[in-house]
Order: sequence, then structure tokens, then C-alpha cells
Amino acid sequence: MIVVRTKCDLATEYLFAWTEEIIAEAENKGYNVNKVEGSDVNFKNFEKRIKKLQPKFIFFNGHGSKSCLYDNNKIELINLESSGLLKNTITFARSCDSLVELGETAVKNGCHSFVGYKKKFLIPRWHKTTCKPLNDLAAEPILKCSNIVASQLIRGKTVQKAVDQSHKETAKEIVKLIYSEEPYASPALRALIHNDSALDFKGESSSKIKNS
Amino acid sequence: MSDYDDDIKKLIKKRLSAMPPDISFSVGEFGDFTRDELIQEVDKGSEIGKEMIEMELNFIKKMPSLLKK
Repeated sequence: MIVVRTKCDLATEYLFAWTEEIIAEAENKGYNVNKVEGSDVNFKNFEKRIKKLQPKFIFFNGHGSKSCLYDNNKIELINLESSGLLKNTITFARSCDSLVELGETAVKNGCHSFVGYKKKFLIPRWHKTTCKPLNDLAAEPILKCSNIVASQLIRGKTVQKAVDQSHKETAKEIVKLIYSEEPYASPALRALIHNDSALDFKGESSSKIKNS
Repeated sequence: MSDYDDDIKKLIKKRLSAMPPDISFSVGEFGDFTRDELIQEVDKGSEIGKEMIEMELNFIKKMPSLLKK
């Protein structure tokens, strides 16, 4: 599998940190995890790695738009034109909006399933823990619930089950937050509901990763 | 994304102002916004402002069914 982790601002720093537990879980399960980070996040390198490794699963973390995913310099890493690179993969793009056009086109071009968000992916941050993304209680439920998609996929669940499980766990978190009196609860609750309503997939609902 | 009338904007600004001031939202490639900056975006009718209105409206709509759980 290939994990792309951009890191160019606070939002991507949060995604970067929260992807660590998914990498650890995948490695424990015997996946060969190829990390694309730093200056390696560019189209040429990404294309080369996909062609060489033929990954079954691509997990992208970074900024996106309806029609593309970006590298660290806001240059398109993958767009509608190059979406054929995702052929024969399950791709989970943890980015804003990319399910709308990129997901649809990638599936037309042979991607088994593209999981992503059809609206903005919001991350609330509590200022006192900004430098410690893993300790930020406002961001935690959002990234934890989003991680469930990747975690379920690497456990061999179908795309449909992975997304459903994320919705299910999100519902539990929402109920906890509704009754919480903590100051971070109300922004976390809003972002969680927003992101959950944006999470969906295109392509085969029964696709799953077979780790060999 | 739709344009919203002033009554909706007023409601959303009121709701956003009830959030703690020491929280920011990362809104993808648009960057980070504090509570007060989000309120200004709603006033301006920017894309971020509209996204915040949708977030709040979505929240209000879903609340009754979530409370039943």
C-alpha cells in the first residue's frame, strides 16, 4: 500500500500525525507500507511508485479540490487527466471535495473504489494543544472517526463496511459530544456531523484489499 | 453553493459566536479560521462563510434525530 502524507500547514500536520496509527496497524498486519512524504510528494515520483509497486490501496492525506489532490506546494499531484493511475486500487483520499469529480473519473478509469469527501473536510483545533495534534481533544473525534475507514480497509473489510463502520462510530461520538460540557465539544460536534455527511465512495461497494 | 438571506446569516453568526474563542477551524486549502474570522466570512458571503452556514444548518437539521439515539 502507498500512504501519501503531505505536510505544508497546520491541517496537514494534523493529518500527518493521525495517519501514524494507520501505518503502524498496517505494518503489524504485514502490509508493505510505502510512505510518500516531503519532497517525494510530486507527480513524477508518485507515478513511478504506483507503476513499480502496483499498490492495492492508496491512502492520501492532504489538500484537495473537486478535481484533484495537491502536493506540498499546491501543485496538482493527481487530477482528472492522470486519474487512470489509480486503476486497480482502492483509494481513500482524506481531503476536501475530491470525491465529487476526481472520485467519479478515477472509477470510470478503472479505480475499484474511491472513498472520499464530497464537501470540505473540517478540522477543529483547540489553541492550547495546537502543537500537539494527537493531544488536541477538539480534533481527536474527527480524525479518529475518519481513520476508521482506513483501519477497516486494511482489516480486509469491504469499502461499504468500512464507510458504514465509520458512520456508526461517528454516531457514538456525536452522542458523547452532545452531552459533553467541555469547551471543545461544540466545535468538534459540528465538524464531525459535517464531515460524516460528506463521507462517501464511488465504485464497487464490495471491493476489499486482499493482502498478499 | 446557495446564497443565504440576512436572517439565516444572523442566526448562524449568533450560533458561531456561542463557540469558545480559543478554537479554530481548518477549512482545507483555505487555511485556518478563528471563530471571529468565521463570523466575518459569513458576513462577506464568501465560500468559507457559505460552508459554515451549511455546517450549522446541517447541525440544526440533524440534532433531533441524533438526540433520539
